[in-house]
Amino acid sequence: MTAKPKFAICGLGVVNGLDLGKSSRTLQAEAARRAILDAGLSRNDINGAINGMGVGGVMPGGGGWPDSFARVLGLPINFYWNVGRGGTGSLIAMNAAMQALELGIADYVVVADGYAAWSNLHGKLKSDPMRGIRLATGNTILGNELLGFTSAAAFHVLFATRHMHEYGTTSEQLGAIAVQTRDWACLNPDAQMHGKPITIEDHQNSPLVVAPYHLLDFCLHSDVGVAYVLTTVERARDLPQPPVGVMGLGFGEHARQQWWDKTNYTQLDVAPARDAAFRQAGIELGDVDVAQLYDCFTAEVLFQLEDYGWCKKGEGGAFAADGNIGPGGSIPVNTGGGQLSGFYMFDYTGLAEGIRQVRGECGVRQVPDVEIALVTGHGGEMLVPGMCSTHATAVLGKL
Amino acid sequence: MSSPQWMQDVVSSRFDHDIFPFWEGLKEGHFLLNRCRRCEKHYWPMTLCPCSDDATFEDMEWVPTSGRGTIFSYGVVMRAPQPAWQSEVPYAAILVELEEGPIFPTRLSGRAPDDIAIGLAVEVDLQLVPETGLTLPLFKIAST
Repeated sequence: MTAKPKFAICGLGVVNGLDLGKSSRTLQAEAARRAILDAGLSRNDINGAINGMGVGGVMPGGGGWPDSFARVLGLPINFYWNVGRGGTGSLIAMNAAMQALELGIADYVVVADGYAAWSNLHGKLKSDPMRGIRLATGNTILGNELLGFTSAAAFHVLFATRHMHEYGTTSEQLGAIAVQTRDWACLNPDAQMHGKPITIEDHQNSPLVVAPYHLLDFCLHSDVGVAYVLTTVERARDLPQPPVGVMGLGFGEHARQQWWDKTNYTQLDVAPARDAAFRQAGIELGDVDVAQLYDCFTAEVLFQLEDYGWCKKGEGGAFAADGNIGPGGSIPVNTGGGQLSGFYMFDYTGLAEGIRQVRGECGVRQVPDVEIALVTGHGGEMLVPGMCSTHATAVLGKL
Repeated sequence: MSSPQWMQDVVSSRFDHDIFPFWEGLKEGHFLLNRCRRCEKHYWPMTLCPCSDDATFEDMEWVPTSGRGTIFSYGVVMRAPQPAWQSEVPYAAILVELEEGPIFPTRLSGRAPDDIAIGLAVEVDLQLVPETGLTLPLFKIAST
């Protein structure tokens, strides 16, 4: 028996491209503008705004700055907050937004994030794309960067290597995740890699960047903004879009398992996040119709297939290689192409697709009769305290 | 190796008082870990030991340690994410499981060996970086 949610997403806005030449802040503002219009609201209706941030939150022209997308849009807000950790910003913001709605200090809260990763890396400004991350993370504070940990990949790959060592997981099995995610992207005209199918051979032949990770194990760079509007279910029912209920929300934090105990090197801290969200929603894993799993790299998907329970620990590679996560598979995963092949916007990538799947507006990639969509956020692993170590689970449902 | 100026900027602008003693110890040739005076468990970085609820930060001290361990996990960085690292690749980013218990992230000095594997014995290989006053705690495959 699924629970009756109190809050619902009533509007979604996405701006997505390459070399858009806009700041992260402007991408947030444009996404928020679109989300408010999508909800059938006026900017004057919005009285709460949250920048749910990625990583440590300090991005060039992005979150964590005194200036905000809410100021750009002139929103008549009672509050503007920056919240975030790792790649769970949209769901931490959801937690904060629900509390504001519960307390009655806002009626409609817009949550946004944007990241001009492509323009910062390849565009006219060529500002250092890692600058914000350096400033924000313990990696630099501890000095790990001086020792060669100069990229997210250098950290994340350590988990994949360990999983391979303990369970015999192979690079080809990780490649199966990349291939099936790309298959979904080829059904999504808005995906960055639409029209560019790949094979396992392509994955294996792509350059080793941080071995054992090939280039096709990596997520993309994009210029993206994503925003959503959250309100009460009662208000959402009066608006034009099908309301998407927030059935459950939960969080996990690897730091609670002290990293030096070495118990968490082949798993993410899914359990507390999943258990809290599923309990609130009144669902079991088998009720999930579509899953949007955080995919900064291929192995993060593999870990979640195991940690959520679609297969046993250590069997994620074989499960993926059997074609379970692609179109026609037993559990459709990252149906818009995810961050591996769709666009790179932290947990907002999966959230946007989850909302669209519940609304039933996904065209040829639409999973039939979606009642429950799982959306996850994730940020790093507690291999070393230089990384974030967070996991988030949201259960979205049709009302 | 990355530029001395950048490395100095990292130290001067980002190190905090929790980690500074570790880097000072390296200059004197010591690989320090944070140890609990009560239960003698070691940590990296600075930590308040959970062995007793009334433990205080006064119970924690930085002490010289063996600088030995085994490779717990690794990745081989084949492409330099910044131009300054171009001369270093391919290098092995490793996690060392230290004899004293903690996990320490660093890299193997020199080129990544072809036969790198989890479980290989490694030892600290302190590297003075000219012009910076820094000593880096790189590791190397153990000699014995």
